[in-house]
Amino acid sequence: MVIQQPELLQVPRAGSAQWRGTRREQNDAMFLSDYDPARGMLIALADGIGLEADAGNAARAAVEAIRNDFLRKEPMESLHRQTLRLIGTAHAAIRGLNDRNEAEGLPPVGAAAACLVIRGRRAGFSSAGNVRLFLIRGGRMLQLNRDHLLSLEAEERDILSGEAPDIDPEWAKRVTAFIGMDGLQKVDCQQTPVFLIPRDRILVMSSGLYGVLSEEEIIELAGNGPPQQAAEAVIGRVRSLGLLSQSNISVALVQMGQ
Amino acid sequence: MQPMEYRMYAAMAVGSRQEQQDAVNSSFPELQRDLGILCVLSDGMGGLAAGSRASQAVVQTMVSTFHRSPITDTPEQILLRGCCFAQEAVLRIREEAGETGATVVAVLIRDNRCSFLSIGDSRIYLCRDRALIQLTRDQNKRSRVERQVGFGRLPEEALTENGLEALSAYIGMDGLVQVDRGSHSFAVYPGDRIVLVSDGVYDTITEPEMAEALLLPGQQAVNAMISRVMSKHLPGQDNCSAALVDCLAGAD
Repeated sequence: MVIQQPELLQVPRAGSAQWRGTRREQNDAMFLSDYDPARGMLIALADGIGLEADAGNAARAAVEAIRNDFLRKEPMESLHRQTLRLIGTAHAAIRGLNDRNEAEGLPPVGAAAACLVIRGRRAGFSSAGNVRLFLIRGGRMLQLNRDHLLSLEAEERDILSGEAPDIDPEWAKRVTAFIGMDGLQKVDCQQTPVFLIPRDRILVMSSGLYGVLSEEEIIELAGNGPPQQAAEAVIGRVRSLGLLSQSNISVALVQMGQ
Repeated sequence: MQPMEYRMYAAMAVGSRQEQQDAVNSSFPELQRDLGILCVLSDGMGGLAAGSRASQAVVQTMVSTFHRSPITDTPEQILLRGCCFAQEAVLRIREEAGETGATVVAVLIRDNRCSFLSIGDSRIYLCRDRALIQLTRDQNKRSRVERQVGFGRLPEEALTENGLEALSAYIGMDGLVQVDRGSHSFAVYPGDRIVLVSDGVYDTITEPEMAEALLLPGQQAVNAMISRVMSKHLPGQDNCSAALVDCLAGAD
């Protein structure tokens, strides 16, 4: 006999914060929906790639496409298929933007992006690029999605072909997949949903936070207090460092109910 | 940093197949203080003549690569190099015995951090606070088709085609390039349990059933998981195997 836990409704609470850093433009875009018992909750985050103002347009176009698709369609499909479709929709939006850019002689743009949908106690996600999703459970952090970075792929390629790993540090941080790119194939998606338990938190963050705060600091700041205050605390800590060069940062945080 | 202790347990059953084509092993527990611990599970390709040889070769090669690697190698390098050597070993078996292949899932825990890698459709889960989180991605045709459907490149009907469970990556395939691994190692804590299973387990029992088995200690947990699988009496039950690495607070 298997004793199963009933799926009691838990309304997740969410918060978010952004900072432009030392950049002239904010090229990240983010959307958090309210929780709807049928649709669930969406968090979408995109980090634009391209020349400054155009990159921001790409990120906003991606997030708007995800938002519209999420709010328009009743979710009849599994979480992973829904999030794949949302990323696909954003990809199509940026491809459309690039077609118009090309006609005007402007360079192409793209965006690293991730979307997370929570329905009941289950979470599904898809991502391309280097926006990261972390599960914070019991004060411990686990990255849920994969980074698409040249450093990781070059290491695999070199070792599997019997070569010594040889990666140019200048290139290591380049993303190898982003929405809007030609022939995008490498979208990360988990086929089975993550089963969430009370007080679990999911943190979604753009690449500007990498290497700025330690894992311990992120757990301390994002793992405590109401989600909105916690997201602001993460940004506040980065601002307090007073770094001479700091990329755009975006943080979204959702916590499952008690 | 308080050093931790790791204990590994495993159980397996043949199911309704004629032979056991799954293989499981780990590094020498006595070496864990210096080198950490490696746990590997491999599922030989069903229906292929040399499946059990392939899975045994994968596990042995991964473990011997771990034991021979210099301490200066990163866990990620050790895991990837192990796959490279395992690929060579399985290709040699292919030359002798005909078409074969095997999946691999491996976890390497060192300095309280866990790195993992998968090729194929065996799985790794982290059990934290009694709830399972699947760490690996299934590398099969279904996951590829779902991406194409999500991007509107294929119609929905493509998801009803036969053969979607066919592997898109395995040790022994020509031109192996597709490895699934965590982008970064993650910190493990006392009480964390890392579970490796072949598809004969997760195709038959649900995640809640696995989680229930994991309420039990050590060997009893993996025994319960395999017993649960066999209690279903499914016709055509595949080989099933489960390995468990328990992360424990170490003695001073």
